[in-house]
Amino acid sequence: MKNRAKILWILSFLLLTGFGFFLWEYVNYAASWASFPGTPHISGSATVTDRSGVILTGTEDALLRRATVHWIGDRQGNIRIPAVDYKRQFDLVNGLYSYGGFCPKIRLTLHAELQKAALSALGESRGTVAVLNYQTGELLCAVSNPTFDPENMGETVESMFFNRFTQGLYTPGSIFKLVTLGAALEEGVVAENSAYVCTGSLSFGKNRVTCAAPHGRQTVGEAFRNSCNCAFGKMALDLGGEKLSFYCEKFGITKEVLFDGIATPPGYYEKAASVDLAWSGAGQFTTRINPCSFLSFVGAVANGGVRVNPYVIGRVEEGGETLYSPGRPSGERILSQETAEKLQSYLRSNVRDKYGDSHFAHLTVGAKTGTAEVGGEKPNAMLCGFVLDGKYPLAFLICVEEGGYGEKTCLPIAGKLLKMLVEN
Amino acid sequence: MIPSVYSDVLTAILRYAVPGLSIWLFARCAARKGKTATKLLLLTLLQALLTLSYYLKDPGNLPLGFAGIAACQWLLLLNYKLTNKNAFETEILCFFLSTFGMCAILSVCPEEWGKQLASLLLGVLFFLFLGWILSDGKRIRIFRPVAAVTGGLLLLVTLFFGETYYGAKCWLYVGGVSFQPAELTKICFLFAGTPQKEKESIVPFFLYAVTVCLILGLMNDFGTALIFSFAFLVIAFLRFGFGALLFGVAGVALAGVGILRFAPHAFSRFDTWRHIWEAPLSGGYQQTRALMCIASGGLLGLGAGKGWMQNLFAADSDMVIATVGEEWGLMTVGILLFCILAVSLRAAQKNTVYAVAAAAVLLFQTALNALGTVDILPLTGVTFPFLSNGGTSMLCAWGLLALIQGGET
Repeated sequence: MKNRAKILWILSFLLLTGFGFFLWEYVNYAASWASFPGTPHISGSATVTDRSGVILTGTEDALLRRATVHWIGDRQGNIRIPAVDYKRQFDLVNGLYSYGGFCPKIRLTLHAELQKAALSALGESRGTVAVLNYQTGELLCAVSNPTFDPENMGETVESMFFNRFTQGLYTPGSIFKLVTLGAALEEGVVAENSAYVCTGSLSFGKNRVTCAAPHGRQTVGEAFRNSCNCAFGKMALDLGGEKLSFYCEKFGITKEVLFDGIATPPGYYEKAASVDLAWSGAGQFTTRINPCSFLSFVGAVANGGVRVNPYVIGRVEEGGETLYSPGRPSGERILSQETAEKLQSYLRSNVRDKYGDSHFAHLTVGAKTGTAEVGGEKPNAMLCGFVLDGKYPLAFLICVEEGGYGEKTCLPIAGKLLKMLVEN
Repeated sequence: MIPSVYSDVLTAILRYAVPGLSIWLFARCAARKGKTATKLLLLTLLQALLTLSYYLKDPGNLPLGFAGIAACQWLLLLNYKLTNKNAFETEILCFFLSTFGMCAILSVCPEEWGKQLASLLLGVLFFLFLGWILSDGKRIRIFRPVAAVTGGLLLLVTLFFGETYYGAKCWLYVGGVSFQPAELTKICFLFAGTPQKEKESIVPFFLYAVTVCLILGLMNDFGTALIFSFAFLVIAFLRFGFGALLFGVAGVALAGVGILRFAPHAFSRFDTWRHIWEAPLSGGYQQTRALMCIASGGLLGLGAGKGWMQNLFAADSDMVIATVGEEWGLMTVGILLFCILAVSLRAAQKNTVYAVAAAAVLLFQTALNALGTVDILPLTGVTFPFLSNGGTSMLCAWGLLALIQGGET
């Protein structure tokens, strides 16, 4: 009776059809399967090192793992690092096979010891610390906390997979005054002898811009050093929302930064009027900055007005052959040399005459702190600055969430990092 | 230290040679062309090449697993020659499947090669034993009730003394060796379900089926319960025609509703079915990795030990086709599936109830495993016969083969 066997033919047909469906999906989607985030054959086989060759992938040093995981990724693919997911040849017949396997060596621009020091300095606080070479664009340091150890995942802490340096958006607070001042200088709204009188508050009907204490009569430099909200509120009003917004874009604050397969979110600046415009001049209101783009702006100021795009991949080699190298840094002038030099001197004065060079390992540093009110209990502590020294052409940015006063919280961190740099 | 260039060159050659040899072997077996010894030599050659390949992956450890399988297959051939049995093709294909099973074990858990070899040996002995029973009507009559009772006992013992492992209480530890009695009950079940007299009523069999499924349900082993339900439906249809099938389907549907009501977690796999890429780090983790690895291997594979699947849970059992596919290519996986098809369709010639039912179960189980791995069907936690690691899985597979062969050649 052939009848009985019919079942087998039907089942065979079903099995083949099912497999046929799979083959159809394979032909259409295998390429995307093989490059899906976390795919072990891409992120698993590369060796990633820091700028001097210290191996980062699979290192025994737990602190180093935690400090660099946001740049290297983890086995499960919780963190997507397009740059380290180095593109391999894929085809349907050979898959990812290449003779001898594929083990690229990726050399990052990061400095292992600096990463570790920065993460230690942040301690339990959430935030980001970054150091950039403003002449070449190399990122020497960029850590984000909370972070995790990819070898010992432990509990999931909220936002531990999030790279605050590239993806964060923060209320800038007083560090935004660099932008306001830069814009004002470019527009000619302030001059050497401009004066600002601060009575402690600037009124707009029922609303006010306030300072902690009245600063009295100030020159531009003094207003900057005092971080006078009223003065910068006035400056913003003189500029106007349209112009300030224009310069935000020109300086790159409200533009995305693209490098090594990473795209940062653009910062946010809302054109406003009256009290909102005034507060925005002091870095409050609804303004948001992305640490990466703000750091490259600060670097541009130090670099005489020329912004060099940051990058983190120094070189990719495989089997002795260089697969990728970043090429010569191309700069883009975003503010005039004159403005840049004036800003440099104001920032330098901040350190020399206010914070103290001792905080910065006695290097020639210009900096600005910020205490950004974010509507919560404690404000965010911010610090941006640069070293004006041919040997250390570095810009730095520190953001500590709920860190309190910028000066109190961030100066020690910067100090530690600079000290380490000088000693090595 | 053996320079890695040897491994690289061998891999470059073998990724063509292994699928190529496999296709050739399969074609000759399926077409029944040529002498048996030649075909078996072809398989032995493949096993030798694989031994070399896995040796180069881990120098210092000569993998003896393949040699063990080779010894087993030649001994069985000798046995056949001595007992005047002729056809050996189906058995060759089963050894071929077991060979790739050994490949997976050497990559995932190399220390278990001995255990798998022992299982293979036991499986072949079981196969011969069942064949011996099935070749004589009187023996069948004697053993049927024995089988039925054994099957039930195995399940009850597991229910009361079994250990829960990864959610299903289906493991029994005897002297340090773990095995899953439910798999053996499958054989007993099929054997018990075959009619001796045409007029046998379906009722006792139906009751047996229900009891088995209930016990399996209590053990949370819904994958095996599904296979049992399927086996029951097939036997019902073969023995009693379409009417019984409808009745059986109704019964299974009712059971399904019951499970939904009392044990809805059984259906959790359906949540991620066809949605694995939306949950790649949770419910869909295994299948997304399986697909990534299969894609990475391409049609020809990455070579012995070069896969990533070895890091994945159940890479040697539930997800074994991804492990083999990553190392030896999708083409090899295709051939393995065709082997199962060839083995099953052997039963089409036999036409006895238990042959067809066993073949149907073989096909169904393979489909659930293979299509589950690649998300065409939801994952059901069943093994790929002959290929997957697991003593009872291997034993059961050879048992099914015995039922398919029916004690004749």
